[in-house]
Amino acid sequence: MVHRPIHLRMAGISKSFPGVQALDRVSLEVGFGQIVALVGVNGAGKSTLMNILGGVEQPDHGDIIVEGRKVGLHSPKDAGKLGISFIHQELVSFGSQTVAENIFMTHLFPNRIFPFFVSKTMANEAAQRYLGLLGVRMNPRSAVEDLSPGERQIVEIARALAMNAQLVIFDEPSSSLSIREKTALFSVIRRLKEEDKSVIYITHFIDEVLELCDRYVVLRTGRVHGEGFVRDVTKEDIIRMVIGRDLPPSVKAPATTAAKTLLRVEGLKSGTLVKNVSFDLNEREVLGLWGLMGSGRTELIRAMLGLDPLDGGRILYLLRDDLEPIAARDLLRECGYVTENRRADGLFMPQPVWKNITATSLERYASRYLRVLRVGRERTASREVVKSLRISGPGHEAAVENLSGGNQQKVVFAKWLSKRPKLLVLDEPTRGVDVGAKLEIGALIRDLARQGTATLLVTSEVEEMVSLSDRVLVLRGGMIVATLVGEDISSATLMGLALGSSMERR
Amino acid sequence: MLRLGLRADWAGLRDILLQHGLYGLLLALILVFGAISHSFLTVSNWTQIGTAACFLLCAAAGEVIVMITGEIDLGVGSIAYLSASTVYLTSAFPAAFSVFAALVVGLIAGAVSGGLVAYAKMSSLLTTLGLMIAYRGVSLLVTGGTVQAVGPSIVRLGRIQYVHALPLVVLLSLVLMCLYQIVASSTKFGAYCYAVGNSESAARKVGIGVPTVKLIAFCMSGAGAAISGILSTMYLGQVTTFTGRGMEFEAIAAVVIGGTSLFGGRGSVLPGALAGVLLLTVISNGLGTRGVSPYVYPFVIGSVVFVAIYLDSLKNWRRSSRAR
Amino acid sequence: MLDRPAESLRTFSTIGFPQSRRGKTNAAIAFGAIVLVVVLSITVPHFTRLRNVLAISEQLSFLGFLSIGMTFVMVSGGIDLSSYTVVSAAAVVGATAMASGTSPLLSCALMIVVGIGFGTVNGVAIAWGRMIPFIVTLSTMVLAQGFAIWYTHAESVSDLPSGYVNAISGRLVGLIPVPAIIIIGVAVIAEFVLSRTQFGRWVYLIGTNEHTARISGIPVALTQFFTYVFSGLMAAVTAMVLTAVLGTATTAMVQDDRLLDIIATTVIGGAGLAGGTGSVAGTMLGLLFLTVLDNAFNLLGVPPFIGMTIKGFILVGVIGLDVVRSG
Repeated sequence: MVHRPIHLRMAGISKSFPGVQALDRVSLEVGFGQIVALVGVNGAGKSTLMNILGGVEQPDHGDIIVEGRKVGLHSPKDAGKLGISFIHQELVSFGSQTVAENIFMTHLFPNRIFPFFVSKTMANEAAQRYLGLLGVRMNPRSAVEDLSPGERQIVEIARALAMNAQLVIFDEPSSSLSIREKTALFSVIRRLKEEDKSVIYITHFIDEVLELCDRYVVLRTGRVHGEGFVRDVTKEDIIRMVIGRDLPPSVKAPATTAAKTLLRVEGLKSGTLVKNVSFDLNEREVLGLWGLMGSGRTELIRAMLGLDPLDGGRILYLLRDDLEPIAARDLLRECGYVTENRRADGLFMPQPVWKNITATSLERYASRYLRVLRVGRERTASREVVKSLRISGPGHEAAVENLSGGNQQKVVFAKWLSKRPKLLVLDEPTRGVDVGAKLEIGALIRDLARQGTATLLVTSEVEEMVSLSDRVLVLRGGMIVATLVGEDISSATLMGLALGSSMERR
Repeated sequence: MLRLGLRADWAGLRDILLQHGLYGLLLALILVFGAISHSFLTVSNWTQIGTAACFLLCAAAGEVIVMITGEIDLGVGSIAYLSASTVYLTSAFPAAFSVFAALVVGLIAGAVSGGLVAYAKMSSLLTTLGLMIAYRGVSLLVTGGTVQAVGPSIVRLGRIQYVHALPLVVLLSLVLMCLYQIVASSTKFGAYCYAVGNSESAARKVGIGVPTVKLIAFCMSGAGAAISGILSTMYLGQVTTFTGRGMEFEAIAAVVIGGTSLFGGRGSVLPGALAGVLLLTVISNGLGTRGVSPYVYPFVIGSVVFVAIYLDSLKNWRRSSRAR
Repeated sequence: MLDRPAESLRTFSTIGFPQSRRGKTNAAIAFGAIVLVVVLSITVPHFTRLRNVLAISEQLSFLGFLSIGMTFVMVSGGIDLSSYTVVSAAAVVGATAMASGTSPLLSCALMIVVGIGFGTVNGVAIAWGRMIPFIVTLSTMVLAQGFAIWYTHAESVSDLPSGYVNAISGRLVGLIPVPAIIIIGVAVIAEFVLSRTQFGRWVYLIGTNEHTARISGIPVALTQFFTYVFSGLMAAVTAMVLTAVLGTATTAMVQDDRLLDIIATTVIGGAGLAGGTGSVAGTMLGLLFLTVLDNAFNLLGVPPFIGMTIKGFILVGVIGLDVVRSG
């Protein structure tokens, strides 16, 4: 490998907040044309470090050295001037406006005669040029809201380039991307590398680190616990540095013996994405739904639960002793549904924890005729659940938005568990949750299955799918194309099925 | 080379209908009224339509700008009344001064709304609702709660007609609309307005001065309302308690019909708001030439508005479900 | 950190000194209201006379029902701009019936039908049509007023049976105005329902996050529908009381500027435009504040246009407080 000159060096950065040492003598180096992974669990210090690099926070000690010169980053503007730009998880885009307008919003092309008029043709041409640098061809006149999240992300990268970024920092960019879009993103990032730009890639997907990055830096509790060249380490090495201990081997329950079928779905059709889906779900079983984004997984669930219109097919549910037809909306009432995005539709953020937990089962606390609520009973019930799930935070009178991501997700589970449902539908149950809580939630899911719950699991994390599922259905183009059982369920098979879909529709 | 963004280029029939159905409807209405009533398609009737519409056109133009940024201005009716009252107050002065003073009053009134919304971060809905009432109170005070005549020089301006068909007031309102549309579509400020309406946080992140953009938008709305009030004093020769009354509702209705979204980030003055105002005016005028009782108007207009906002919600819902 | 955004005024009584920004702002408002009452008692002549206090309590009923209806709607995240014109629509229908001989009881039932009718239109459009509450109720507002004008050809209706007028505008025990009793009764029941029942909790949760509420199995559309129907019902009750007190039914029984008063009372009481906060008790406090202010203007002889202007500006200030309160 050619020795590239150092672009940026953060040396001995320390930062403390009242009561906690967020960063302790952290050093990080990025060379020109290098992709460096920044890895660590939530709370390890990644955001604080990046806030310092972005001029949002000031370090207590330590220096930032750009191309050999010490610099002071006192504001985001300073960072911008040094060519540092961020691509955050929350995209900075203007939906109704065009790709070109989004790229050049900060320096729209002024007309030569009247400077407050803008030239759209010049912007369109320039947009195509920058996109070309990234190896992408896109219509600059398309409205950004018509693009997929991955395409919108690329527009943002083009904007960074247009603002003369020299160092591009990606913050968990792949969490809402399909496999195909991730491949496109990686190819764009590699183009950045060819253009001699430096990249810091923040992630907790170790697979991506191995696939994309040249070097890695592992942060744990504010200190660097490992760094070096990616080619010199294995995945397990990195995991060990991240958590500080070995991952327990994935425990899978033994193959379930003939259990009762709880749910049967026949010929489901909904919108353009769900074409014809049929499957059985048994008690004590965790059934995984695997597929690319756009294969219709979330849409299938939403249609099945009556949140989106159902265009065809029927649903049968075990009421009393037999499988009987059931309306989609009634199924929602029977099951627990952990949604993809707890902030959007999983929790009542400003409400206290206990109100969130009892929200799904209020009938239990209401008097018979006037429906008066016994608040004392609500609080007691919620306190028990909080204890059994080990939800920690500022207390259960506190608003749920003040809890950490992992604990928030546990509250979502608590909410459904208080209903004691026989069927659990999980959509990305550990998204935005640190490794420790991920393990706890995984164990919870397996525990529930052992106790008799039937679970439908949708997740994009291969490891999770492999370790939790008894059976996996592979969805493609709105239909089930394969069923995997037992030993067949492995990361290799799942990744292969996902990437091997060259016949995907445009 | 990766070829991306292909799904964006494909628009279904339903989308096209939703976006452009208004113009078809307008055309159809004109043809229908023309067929069932022989006085509808005459030049004099259309001059009447123009004069009936021109006051609303000015207010609507300003309202579009404010709504693009994602806010709303319920004060336009009262600001028009306030400006008209200013014209009355300055009757003793030359026309140019009256007009200038009234315009300044409108700008200041707009700036007050804008300042409160942009800098004090107050809800534009409630703030402009409150100011609407406050400004109305001031205007009632100034005019003594009755009709007041304005200076003769203003009245003379109101009588000017070009080619015996195009009154000056109509021409001025169209000029204003053109001006506002140019600002919206071809200037940096216009692009910033759309950006702020799309996502305030994103606009802030790229360095757009969001409060300034909103402030200027409200000033433009105040100016539009002021000009509406000025034009009405020209045309009527007086300011009455009905000046600007209920105009905010009509303006918002017309603007939403014309494609400006209540959710912000999209909309146009020309052709959108123009078509919206025309639709409402043509309906009232058409019904009038058929001798329909005026008590029915609110029902018809109300229903039309209902349908318009239903379609706006539909469009918004389709947009957000496509984003998933 | 103890934070109970939904029970704004209660943070005072159960926890002690309020901790949250919302709690502190509400405490400040309550304190300001008390100060206002004290100041007015001292400076304005006749303010504390029993006759005046009773007049104030009667006045509470003019906007009180509408404010209570608005509270339910706003807590669920919506808004109802039409309730004040539905009053006229209901009033003219009932009054016309009464004037032509129909029994007062039946006429009042008619008023309720009109009120619930408009409430249903709003409710259906907003809850199932997914339309924006602000614009829908803005349209209904115009429609209701248009209806009233059309129904009476812009004339007012008098000739009301004296039995009806005396029963409702009279005084119990010769002292306490009947309308005051009605409004206090309704307020107590409404506060109980909103703060202590399952339905009330649903309203708060829907206002906090509609999507989460739907997924949690809460009947969102039905609940929202009922809040608008309830608001329409409150308009009908207002029509019943106002028609008796005024002795006629006109096409503009509640003036335009009262709309802002109604909204302001709920905002003072803790409701925010976004929903999920507020309470009937708070709204009634806000109503008391405004009614006292109006009463003071009256006693001081402030000309109506000036009073209107001042109030407009004060209320803008109150709304600014809501911004401070929600951070």
